Amino acid sequence: MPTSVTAILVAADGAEYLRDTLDAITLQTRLPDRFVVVQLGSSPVTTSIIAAIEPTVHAHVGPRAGFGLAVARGVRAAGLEAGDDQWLWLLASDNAPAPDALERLLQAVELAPSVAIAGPKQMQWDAPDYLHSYGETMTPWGTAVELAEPELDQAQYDRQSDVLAVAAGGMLVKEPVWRELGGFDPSLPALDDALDLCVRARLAGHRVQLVPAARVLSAGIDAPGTRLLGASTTEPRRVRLRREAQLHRRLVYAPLPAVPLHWLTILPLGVARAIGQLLRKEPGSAPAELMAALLVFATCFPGVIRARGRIARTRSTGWSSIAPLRQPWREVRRRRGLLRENGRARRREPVRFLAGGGLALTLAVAAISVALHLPLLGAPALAGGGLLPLGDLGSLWGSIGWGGHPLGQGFSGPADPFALVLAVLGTLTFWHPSTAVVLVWFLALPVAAAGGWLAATRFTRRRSLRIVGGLLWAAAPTFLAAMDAGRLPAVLVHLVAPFALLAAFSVRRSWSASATLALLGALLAACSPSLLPVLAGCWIAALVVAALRPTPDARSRLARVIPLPLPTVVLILPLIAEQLKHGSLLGVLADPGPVPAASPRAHLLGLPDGLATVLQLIAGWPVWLESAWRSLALPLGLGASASALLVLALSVPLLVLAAVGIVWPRRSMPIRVGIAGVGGLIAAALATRLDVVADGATPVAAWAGAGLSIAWLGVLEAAVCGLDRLAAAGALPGGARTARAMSRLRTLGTAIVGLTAVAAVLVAGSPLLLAQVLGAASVQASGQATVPAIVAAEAADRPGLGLLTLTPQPDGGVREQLSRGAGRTLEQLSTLATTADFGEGSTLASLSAALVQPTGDDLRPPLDALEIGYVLLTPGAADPGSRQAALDAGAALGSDPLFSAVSTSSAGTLYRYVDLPEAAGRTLDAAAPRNTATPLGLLVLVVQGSVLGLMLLLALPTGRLAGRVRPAPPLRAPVADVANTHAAAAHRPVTPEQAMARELLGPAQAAEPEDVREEVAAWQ
Amino acid sequence: MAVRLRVLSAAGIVTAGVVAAALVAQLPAVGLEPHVAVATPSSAGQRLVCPGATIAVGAPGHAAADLSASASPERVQGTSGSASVALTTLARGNVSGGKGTAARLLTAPAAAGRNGAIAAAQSQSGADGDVAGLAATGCVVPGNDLWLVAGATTTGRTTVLTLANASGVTAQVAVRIWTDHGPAAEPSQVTLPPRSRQALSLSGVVTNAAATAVEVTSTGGQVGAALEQRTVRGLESGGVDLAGPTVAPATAQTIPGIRIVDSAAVASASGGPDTADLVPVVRLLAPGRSGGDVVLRVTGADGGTARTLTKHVSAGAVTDVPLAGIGDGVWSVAVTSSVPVVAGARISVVQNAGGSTTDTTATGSTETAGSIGTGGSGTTTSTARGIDFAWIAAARPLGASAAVAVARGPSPKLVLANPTAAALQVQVAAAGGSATTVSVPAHGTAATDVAAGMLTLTRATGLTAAIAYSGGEGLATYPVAPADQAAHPVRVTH
Repeated sequence: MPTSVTAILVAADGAEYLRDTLDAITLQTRLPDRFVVVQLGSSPVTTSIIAAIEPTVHAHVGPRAGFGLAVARGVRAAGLEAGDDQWLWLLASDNAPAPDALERLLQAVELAPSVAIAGPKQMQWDAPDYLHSYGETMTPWGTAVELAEPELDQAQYDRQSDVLAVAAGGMLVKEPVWRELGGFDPSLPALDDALDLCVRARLAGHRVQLVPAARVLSAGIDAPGTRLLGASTTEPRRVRLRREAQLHRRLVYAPLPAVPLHWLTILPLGVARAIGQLLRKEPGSAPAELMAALLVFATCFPGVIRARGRIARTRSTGWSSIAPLRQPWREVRRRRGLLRENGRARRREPVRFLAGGGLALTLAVAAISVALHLPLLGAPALAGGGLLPLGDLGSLWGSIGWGGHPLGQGFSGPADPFALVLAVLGTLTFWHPSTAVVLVWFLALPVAAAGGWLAATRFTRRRSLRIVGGLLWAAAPTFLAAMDAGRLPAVLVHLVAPFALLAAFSVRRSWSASATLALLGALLAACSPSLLPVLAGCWIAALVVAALRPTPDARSRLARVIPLPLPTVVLILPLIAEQLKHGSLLGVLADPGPVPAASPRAHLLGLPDGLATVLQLIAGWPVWLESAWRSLALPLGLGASASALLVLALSVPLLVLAAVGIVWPRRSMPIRVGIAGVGGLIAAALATRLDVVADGATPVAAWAGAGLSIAWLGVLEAAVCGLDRLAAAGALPGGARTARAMSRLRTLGTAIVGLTAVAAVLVAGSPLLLAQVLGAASVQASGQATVPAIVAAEAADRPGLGLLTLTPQPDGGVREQLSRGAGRTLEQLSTLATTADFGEGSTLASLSAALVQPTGDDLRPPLDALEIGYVLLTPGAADPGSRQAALDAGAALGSDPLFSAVSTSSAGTLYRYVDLPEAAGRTLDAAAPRNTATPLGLLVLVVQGSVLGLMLLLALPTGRLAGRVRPAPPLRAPVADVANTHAAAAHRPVTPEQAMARELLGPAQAAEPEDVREEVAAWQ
Repeated sequence: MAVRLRVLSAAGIVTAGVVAAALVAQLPAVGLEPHVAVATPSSAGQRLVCPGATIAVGAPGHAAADLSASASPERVQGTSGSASVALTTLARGNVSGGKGTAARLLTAPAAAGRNGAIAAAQSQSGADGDVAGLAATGCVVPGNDLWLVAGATTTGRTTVLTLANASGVTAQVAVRIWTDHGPAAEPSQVTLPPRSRQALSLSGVVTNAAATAVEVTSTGGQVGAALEQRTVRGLESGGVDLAGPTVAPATAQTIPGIRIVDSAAVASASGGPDTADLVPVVRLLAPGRSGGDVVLRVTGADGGTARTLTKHVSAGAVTDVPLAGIGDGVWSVAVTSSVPVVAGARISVVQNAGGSTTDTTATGSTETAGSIGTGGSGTTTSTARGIDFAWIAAARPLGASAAVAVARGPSPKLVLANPTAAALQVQVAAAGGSATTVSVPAHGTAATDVAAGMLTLTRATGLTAAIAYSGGEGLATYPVAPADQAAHPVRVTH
């Protein structure tokens, strides 16, 4: 009986492929006996193309039908009679066969009668010399894998012929076997349908064979395919379909007793794989994994039962018979290794921190830093200025989220975002969290130098200038002033800012950078909420720029910009809500930490205060440090105003260099620098106008230094670029050798100029740098307790024991502060207390008022209720009002029989409440619930934890890990050499500067070819 | 071109940014109001301490350093409202004597509602040991920092500091003494048990000081203090007085109640030996680090012309400024100084300039005969010339109303000094009697006769006042304390 072939073409709308494919079929050397075209949908264009060919049968299915369904429709429409030599040849609209494809296939099956399914070699549509698919198999765990790599076909796979499965496109299948097996599994509508069919054929005792001589094209992921899986299918959807198919096959192929187990593991595995997708920086695929798991978990039963029944009916051999055809583990591992190699090759060359001088600079600065902070060596904690010890781990992590704060009378409310920063910081030295702050103080200078160095690598490839950049960042006056004032948040802002800049450069490219920037942004906002308006402005600008760019990758870029504020928002939203409820929204912008004393107003040469302040800010100084400056100018015998002028003038050389960088620019740089610099400056000026906290009754402005750190980034950038331009300027004629020598000389010269400018700034900051060694620093080594020793000793048994500190004020009033246990710790503080008076109540106020004068009130009930055991009366300021208030208060406390004076020191007089109840202060958190105790607190913790956790997974530098985390990324044919390369090159930005310039100026002015050579940065 | 455009726009952005920052820095500060809670606790009960009787050092029958008291001062006490005053007798401490000599603590409920402000004063007259004279003083609110400007320890002058702890806790008292030669080296420390009195003779600390001033600082309990001076010139009594606390150092002080009688007799008597301290003086002390110029403005109650004296006061040295050329009458002294000073004044009276300065007659003569017998044996001193003196403390400005206790004594006068720039009309009402209105000119002084008992002053804001006595028994003056024991509002911040 002669062999009869029925070709079944599943035709989707897609004229460019379909026409070629139809032509190729009509040019076959062995024409199929029947030609059935199954059209998906009813587009008139497609219809007319098909009609022109005059197929035997022109069938239609709905536009939503999958490949398997369409084939089944085609087989039915062909109206075949049963016969042993009936074959079906399955083709999709992009599967244009080579002229001899069918002939070769038929030759192969005629030679081997046991072969029920034969598959051709699938080649890439755009590059027909490259393999697309040539046989499929499964790993021992059932993952579908291609047998062949997408590489140039040099007959390297032609020896393989007996395989587990072949692809659907171009598959030649024996009609009786098709009928016996029942065709494709309707539960696998898009993927793995051919694999499943071949597996079932194998189990039924048939062979599946590859035919190397037969070739069929495939457009791969660009194929029109079907609605379920086609060119428009997104990557997450492909991930979901792939996972659904795999899970379905797993449930179908597994031994019956194992099926419930597999079913139960679907959801946990889904979660794990979603996390894996995050680690692979594919956040879009993470929901797809979860969705696939949920869908299969919920809806798998009918499909699985049907499929298992079909296998049971047709199976004639055991599963062990196909085991040799699976891909062995060794091969799986080899494939993954290859993938990792490819991934590594794609990564850009790393900045050579170790060899490029960065490490040496960091180590040198570290040695200087240790020498400068020698008095703090071995300190268990730091106190003074804005520093306090940290509590234990329980207290650190108990202070985040939404819970009770043991401040004043105690209150429940959201934590400052900075509390989370402290918790993480303290956990680094979990055995004694306060040590982390000491370490920060020792490491701040070297880390700043390293950050500055790394930031400078973006603007110059000259080693010496990078070192200038590193020193410049470590010598920033705002940084030194923050260290001097003990402003931990401001120090962290300065340390983090260059890394945020580096991450911002890479947001276009990578999810990891986007998540890193989001987390660093949250850190910046947590440390200095007064930066929030600036950060919001940056984000909106980035959104606008990304949205306005008409490039193909704009969508993915936008997708990476949009979630940037997410961690900040979830951290700060509870605080915003609470402040809004309280009517003090501005309080959100308050600096975290203890309220410092108000700094003196700027005053210079009789200028208005505002102008003098701006001059001070432009010079890089966040506060008017008159005493430090006077000590600097003391040897010169200068007065207050003259010494201030001198210090401000010492910043001028650097500003001049920055001006050089701006007016004599590298092409793409100046506008961005200008925006960063003046944006930070305006933020700093705004901060000086923001009085949301008060020291007693004196309003205290926000710390201007955070904005100045941003501005200093601009100064760093402009100055380094300016120096780089100076070093590159004026190439002299002459031999290459002379030119090299001259260039080296010029670089040396500019480095000296740069170092001189840095040295001037360092001189201005020297009183602050040397303060620790000279013993003039406000930051001091401290014990874990900040209360008098006798109170600390008693607090060992009574962690909730209250110490009420009363400070007489110049207006005759009194400032009260109630601390518990061994004293306030940094994480207990809340801006709600400093800005919105949370925790302050009439009880505490009237108690304080009654303590400082003779009263007829019975003070026992409020003292007992607040669990106050000690009252510390500090001497207050030296002005007459404070002194009189101190005298009156001392008189009242001293003559009160409820109190006995315990000790007098420079800190004041300590009085003990003699009738303190035995049970008072035995526990700390009796007043307010813990952050896990209320549903609201739990909700806040869960939301914040999950958002930050996801961001962290996404941000983790898992370059090596990503390759190892399952599933390995699918094999993709490389973009063939020729297609589209010109266009891609024209659009690919060469440096971040250029990229930014294009974003700012539009594509028309960017990408001038001669720029490219000049702009080659060091990492390339 | 593109480059130049970019440079220009960059320079423009930087300039605009700097200008914007400069403008922003001129904005008024925005923010949240500092939280200030104003709390007023309920007032404590009112308290006054009366120092008790005058104390003699080494009185006959006692050891030379023993302190003893024999007189029983008369007290006038009460409130300006309906509340009554409770009395506690303090322990007599290191002073021997009967119960009547002890210091007293007077208490009354807080002056809220109809309770009224408390006031009390004590007086004693006649012979006390080897001296005779009138000693009247107001009972004072116990405090932790008191200044007393009076006393001398030259030959014949005995100065005794009385300290009374009115509180329920021990008081650690430091007594710092200044003399005309400067401050004494170390403060003397005195421990006062609760509700007790201690006396301290300044002679034991500073000897031969022509002028003394004392600061009492107490840690713990609040104390009342009084400084007593008695003077014996040879065999003649020079009088006795009990001076209460004056006002803490300030650059402006007012001393009302300088009542000078027979100034001619004083002037002539002061020419004799050891009588230089009969002349009226204003005593000044600048306790700070630096001295300064002090202007004394003396105004009289009769509207006479004011006199102005200027004197430089050196730091730490007690300076007596003679009130030369001040005639008879009731005067006030307004002290203004470039540095904070404490001030007091002393006046003397010689009632019978022709009397004998010594008593050579036999012992046992009666008091009215002009001499004093002490214990029936030993020395006697003559009182024939009727010499007495009075220490006058500076007075604090009064509030709108004040309660005044007028102790018994000869012809008491209420002296009102007005340091303000506006004339004031004060209503003076005796308990149960009708009110009279006294007008006090701006920067002037007025005086009105009053009777012993309780008085109430109203519309007295800014005035200072004193009760001044003068008569056969001698001289005495004490200031009227403002009724300010009520709790005041406190601005509490955090």
